[in-house]
Amino acid sequence: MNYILHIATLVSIYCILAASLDILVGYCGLMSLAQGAFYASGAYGAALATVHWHVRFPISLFVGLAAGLVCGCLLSVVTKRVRGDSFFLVTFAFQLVIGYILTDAITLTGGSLGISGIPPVSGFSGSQAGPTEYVLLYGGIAAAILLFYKRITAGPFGRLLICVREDEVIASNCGLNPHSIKRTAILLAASGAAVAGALYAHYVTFIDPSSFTVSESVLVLAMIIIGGVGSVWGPIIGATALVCLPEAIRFIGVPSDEAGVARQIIYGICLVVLVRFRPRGVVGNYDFGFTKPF
Amino acid sequence: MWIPCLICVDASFVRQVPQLVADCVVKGSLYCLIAISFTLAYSLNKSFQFTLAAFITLGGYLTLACEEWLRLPPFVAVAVGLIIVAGLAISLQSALYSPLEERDPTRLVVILASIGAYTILQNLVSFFWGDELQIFPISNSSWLVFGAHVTTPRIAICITAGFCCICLYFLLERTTLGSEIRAVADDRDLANIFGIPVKNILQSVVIASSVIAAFAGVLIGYDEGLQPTMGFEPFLLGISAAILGGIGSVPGACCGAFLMSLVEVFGVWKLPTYWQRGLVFTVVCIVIAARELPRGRRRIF
Repeated sequence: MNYILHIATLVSIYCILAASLDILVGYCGLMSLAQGAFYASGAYGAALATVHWHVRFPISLFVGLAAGLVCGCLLSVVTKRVRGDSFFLVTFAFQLVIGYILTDAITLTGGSLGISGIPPVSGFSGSQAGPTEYVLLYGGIAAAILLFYKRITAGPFGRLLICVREDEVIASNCGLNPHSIKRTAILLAASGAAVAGALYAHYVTFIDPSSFTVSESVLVLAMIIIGGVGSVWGPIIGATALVCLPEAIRFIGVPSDEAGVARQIIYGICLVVLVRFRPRGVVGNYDFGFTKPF
Repeated sequence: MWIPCLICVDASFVRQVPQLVADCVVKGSLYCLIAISFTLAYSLNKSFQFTLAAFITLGGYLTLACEEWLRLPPFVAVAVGLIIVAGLAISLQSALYSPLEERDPTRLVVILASIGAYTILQNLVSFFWGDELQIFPISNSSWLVFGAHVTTPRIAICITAGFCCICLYFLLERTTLGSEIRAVADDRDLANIFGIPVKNILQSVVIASSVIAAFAGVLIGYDEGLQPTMGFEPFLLGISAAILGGIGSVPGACCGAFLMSLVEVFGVWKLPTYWQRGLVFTVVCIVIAARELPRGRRRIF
């Protein structure tokens, strides 16, 4: 039972990550590999705040959020005029830079040893939170964030994002500022991922750079592509499927090391097959545009 | 601030200079190899294919497999490894990229497909060989040239890069095949109308670019050892070198590569070495953001 609750907690963390990346990919049309960097900044922000300044859980969440927003600002400054595949390359390099800072700035981040001893969330009764409380709390936060994103994307700002995605020139002809809209989208994605990172840090109580590598970013990207971009349910379906997949592989008797590799191979195959035959994913509304119909 | 630094260079720095220059040349040559391989593939396909990074890794690992498991002598092993990678590149092109191309996708679609393919290949490598560092079972002899330590693989990197650049430059500028490649890169439909065998040209370019990338991987393997994720960093540095020098230009790719290696080696000589990698990729970020990839039709090569 605890095992199922553990999976549910992870699913809610990845739902937040995937949904926040969907703002950028599905609505703004900017494909990004920097989600792992924002995730890391949130996790390290929250971890450093709790370990060094001894702040409690909800406040450390906001410290993580602030760290994520700083990271998002940096990326949006660098990528001000960039779209399409250049944006993708810049976010890839940005992810590598953040990874190197995490491993190399040893005095701040503890290097590849990471930060341990992050206090877990204290439960409703005052003592340490149990698995059920984690699921309720994290699921609640995830639901709140998903609802927030749904409100945003269904409202006027969502239409602005789609307008910039479809044609930036027309958007600026209509008196919109595509740069500021893109910046807002990056910041929205960064804040969601940072919150997910802070929640992750408090859940596992130990973080190191290996949890925030490029392959983590690729995993989150694969989640929304498989689930389908530009929709509410796409990220949820993708996150649930890809978090449960290695557990299912392990369940049929593959050792856990090889289960990780097998999971990556399976989602690589999923990506290739989906892009080839159904670019919208399972329930998506956007497919990055083929100029010719099938 | 720079001038006092330059004036009061101490004796230890003067002693380091030859080594730094040698490092710079070796790294520049390596990035140059990957940059020309990328610039070839990008100019013809007009899309950014992540699988080139997997070819770097695979080149090294397949050569290692031929040497260790099949007990082939080194040169034969390298040749067999490169042939397998070329075959893989051709089959990827015909099974994945060409059908996508027929539907005229945006570049993001191709990137996604190639990331999927990259993930599969990288994880197959770590499935068969594991994630640990693998080292070729030979000892590298080291010489002192002008006060700098150089090893055999490093010299091989420099020679290969020079050879590839010069050959490719003359191939593209002086031969019929080169002008056909330029024609296909410039306008595929028009080249087709004029009777140039577009498919054959595409295939030969795919083979050339994957073989160059894979050979770079072999040389990295001999120099530093092999890891499943080893393709990422040289790939990104090579791309940014190509972008810095201008996509579709072989001399540009060379200049870009040596500029990148200058930044990497000399940009940090006053900073602690652990800032090196972060600094280099910050430069990569800025370079790619500042120079857009070419869009639409323009002269390439």
